[in-house]
Amino acid sequence: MKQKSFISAILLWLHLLALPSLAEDYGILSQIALANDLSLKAKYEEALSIYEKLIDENYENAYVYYNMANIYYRLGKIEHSILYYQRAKSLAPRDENIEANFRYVISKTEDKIYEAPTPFINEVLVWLDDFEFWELVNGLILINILFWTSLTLNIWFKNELLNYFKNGTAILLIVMIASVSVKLYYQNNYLTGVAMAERIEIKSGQGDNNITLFQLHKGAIFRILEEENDWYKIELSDKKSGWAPKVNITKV
Amino acid sequence: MTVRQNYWLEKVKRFFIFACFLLLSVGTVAADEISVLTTIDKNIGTLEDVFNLTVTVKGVRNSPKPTMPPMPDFTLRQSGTQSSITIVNGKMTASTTHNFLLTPKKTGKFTIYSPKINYDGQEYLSNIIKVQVIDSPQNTASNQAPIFAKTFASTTTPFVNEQFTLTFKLYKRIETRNIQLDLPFDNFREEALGKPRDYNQVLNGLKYHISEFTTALFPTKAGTIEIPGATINLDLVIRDRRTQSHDSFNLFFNDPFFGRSGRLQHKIIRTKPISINVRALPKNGKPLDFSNLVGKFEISATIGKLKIKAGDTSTLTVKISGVGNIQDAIFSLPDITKDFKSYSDEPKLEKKARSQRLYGEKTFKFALVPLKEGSFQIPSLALSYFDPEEERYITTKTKPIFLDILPAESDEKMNMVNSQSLSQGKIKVLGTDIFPNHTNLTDFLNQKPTVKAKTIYYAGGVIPIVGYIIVAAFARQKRKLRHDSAFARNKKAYKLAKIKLENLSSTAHDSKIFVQELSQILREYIGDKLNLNGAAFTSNEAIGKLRERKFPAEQIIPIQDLLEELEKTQYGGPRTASNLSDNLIDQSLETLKKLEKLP
Repeated sequence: MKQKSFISAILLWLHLLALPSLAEDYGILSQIALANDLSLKAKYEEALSIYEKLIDENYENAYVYYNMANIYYRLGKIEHSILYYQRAKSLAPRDENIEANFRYVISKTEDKIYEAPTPFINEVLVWLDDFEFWELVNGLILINILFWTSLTLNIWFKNELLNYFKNGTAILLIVMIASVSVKLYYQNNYLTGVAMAERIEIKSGQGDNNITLFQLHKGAIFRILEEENDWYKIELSDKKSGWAPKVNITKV
Repeated sequence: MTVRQNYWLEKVKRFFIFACFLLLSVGTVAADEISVLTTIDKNIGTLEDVFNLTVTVKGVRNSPKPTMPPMPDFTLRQSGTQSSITIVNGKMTASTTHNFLLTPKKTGKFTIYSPKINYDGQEYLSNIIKVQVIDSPQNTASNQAPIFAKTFASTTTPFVNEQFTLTFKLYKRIETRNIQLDLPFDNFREEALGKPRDYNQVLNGLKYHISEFTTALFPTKAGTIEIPGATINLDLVIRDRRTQSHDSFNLFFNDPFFGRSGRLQHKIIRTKPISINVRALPKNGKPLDFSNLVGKFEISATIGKLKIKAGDTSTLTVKISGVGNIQDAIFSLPDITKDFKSYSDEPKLEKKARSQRLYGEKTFKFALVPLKEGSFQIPSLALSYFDPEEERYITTKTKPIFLDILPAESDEKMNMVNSQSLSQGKIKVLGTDIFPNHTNLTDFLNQKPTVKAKTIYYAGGVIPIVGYIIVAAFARQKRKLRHDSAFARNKKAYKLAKIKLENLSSTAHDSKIFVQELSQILREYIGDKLNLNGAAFTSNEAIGKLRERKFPAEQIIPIQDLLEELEKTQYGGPRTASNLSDNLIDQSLETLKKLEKLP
C-alpha cells in the first residue's frame, strides 16, 4: 500500500514537472505579442528593447532571434542581423524562412561568407546540422525509454519481433548517444563569431604591429579557434586564419 | 631422289631466288626518280556524269595522299588507293595510284590544277587537266532514259504561308544502290508528308519503278523564288550480259557486293529547278485579328463544367483545326478579367498527312476561375484566316458559352487554384526583400530548458535503466527459487519456521511434545538454511553443522542456547504450560530474526 502511494506521488510529481508553467509563459507571450505588434508598426527600437529584456531574463527562442534579426536588417545593422540569424539558426536549424533571410542578408555583405568552418564529424553525422541540441536529447530520451522497455519486456516475453525491436533501438541508442555527445562537445568548443566592425584587419599575431594578413568586413562569419588577452584567433571556411581584436567580434 | 622430290626442290629454289631478288631491289626502287601523273577518264561530260580522276605517283610505294587543288565547281570524293610493283627487264618500278570521283556542279569549261605530293621533304607537282561539262541529255529526252527524276509543284503561284506540295519522283528501270537525295528548300518552311512510296508505272511502253517523295512547303516571303533542282547521288549496278542468269543462286552471288559479274557505276541525277511566284496576301479586307493563318480552318470551344462554384476551376478548351500553316495559329481569350481569372496552358499541336496535304489541330487550354457567383457568358471566340482558294479573308466564330456560377464554399477557396499543368508567364522581378517577422505565438515558448525539464530528461534517462535492473533482479531471483532448491530452502526457511511456530503457539499445551516440536522446528530451520535434513539431527549435531559452514559465533550462540534450554526443559520435567510456550516461541522468533538479519 505504502509502495503504491510512493509510486503515485512520483508519477504526479513528474507529471507536474512536465507541464509548462502556464502563468510564466502567458507573461512572456504577452510581451512577445506586444513586441511583434510594435515591430509591425515600424517601432523597431521599442520592439528590440522588449525582446532584449526577455533574453536577459533567461529566455531563448529561435523566432525572437529571427524577429530581432529582421528588425536589425530594417535598421540597416546587417552585422547584428547576421548575428541574430545565426542564433536563430542554431535553435531552429530547419526553418526555411530563417535560412532564406540569413542568406539574403549575407548577400548584402561585402565578404559574402555564408558559413563558418564546420567540423569534419558533421560530414559523417550529416544530420547534426539539421537538429538542435535539445531535439537530439529528446530523441535520445525517447530511444532510451524504448530500448530499456524492450529489454525489460524481453525478460518475460521471448519474441522474434521484440528481439528485432530491441536490437534496432540499441543501434539507434548508440547513434543518438554519439550525436548528443558530439553536438554537446562542438556546442561548447566550436565557437562561431561575427565581425561587428565596418572593417577588421586580421593580423599575423596578437597586436596591431603585426602584419595584416587580410581584411574582413561587417557581417563576416568565422570560427573562433582560441582566445588570448584581447584577441581571438579566427579561421575562415577557406582555412585562412589570423588574429582579430575581440572588441570587433561577437560570439554567436 | 624421286621425280616428285626434284620438282619441289626446284620450286623452293625458284622462290628463294625471287625473294632475294626482291630484297636486293628495294634499294633500287627507293632510289628511282619520283614523278606524279594526273589523268581523267573523259574530258567532256554532262552534269549527270562523274569524272574519274587518277593521280599516279611513280617511284614510291604507299605514297602520301596528294594535296588536291581547290575545285569549287566540283564535289570531290576519294574512291581508293592502290600500290603496285612492276618488273620490266629485271628493273622494278613501284607506283601508287590515288583515285578520285569528281561530280560537276554546273556546266562550263574548267581547269583542274596540279595535285601535289610531299615526299621526303620534297614537293612534286602533277600536270593540269581540262574538262568540259555540258547540259544533261535528260533535259531533252528524259522519258527514254533508263533512269531519270522529276519534281512537280502543286502550284507555282502560292500565297505567302500557303501550303503547297512538292513531289519528287525517281523513275528507273535499272538496278541502283546507295541513293542519296538532296532537296534544298531555302525560303520555304518544309513539313514532310509521310514516308516515300514505291510503285511501278508504264511510260511510253517502258515499265519504270518509281520512288515518290512528297513534302509540304510554305513560302515565307513574297516574290519569285526558285526551288533548286534536286540532286540524287546513286550507284548504278552494271551487269555483265554474258554471265547474266535467272538462276537464283547466280543472282545472289552475282551481286556487286560479291564482286562478281556486276560493277557499280556512280551516277548523279538532277531535276530541273522550279520557279515559284509567291503572291503577297491582299491588304484589302484583312481583319484586325488576322495572324497570318493561310488555308482552311475551323474553331471550336468546349468547357469542362457549366456549373461551378466561385473559386473553382473549369477548363476551357479551344481547338483550331484545318489544312494550312496550323503551326502559326495563335489564340488569346477576349477580355473576361472582370468575371474570371484565367491561366493559359501550353498549346498542343498535332499534325498528320491527309490526301497529300498537311492537316493539323492546335489545342489551347485555359483554366478559368470565376470570381463571383451569377450567370456569365464567355462570348463567341473568333478566328480569322486567309482562304487561298477563295482568295479572301474569312472569320469563323464559336457559339457563346453560358456558365452558372454558384456561391463559393469559403473565401479561402479563392486561393486554392492549382495551376500545376499551366505554364506560368515570365514575371519581371521588381524588387527583393526578407521574409516578414514570425508572429505565431505558440512558437514563442522558451526553448531554454528549465530545471524541471532537465529533471524530466534525467528521469527519462535513469528510470528505464533502474526499472530494468529491478525487474531483471526479481526475475533472476524467481528463476533461482524455481531451479535452485538449496537457495529456495534458504530463502523460505524463516517464513516456514515462523508459520510452524505460529501454528505451534495456537495449539500450545503443557507437554514435552511441545518442546520437542519446537526443537524440531528450529533444527528444521537450520536444515533449510544448510540444505540438509534438519529433523534428523540432534541439537548438538545441528550446531556442529553450523560451525562446519563457518557461521559466525554471534549467530550460533543464541540458537545453541535456545536448543540447550529446550533440551533441559524436555528432560527436566513439566512446567507451567502457557508461560512456557509463549516465552519459548517468542524467544525462538527473536533468535530466528537475528539469524536472518545477520549476513
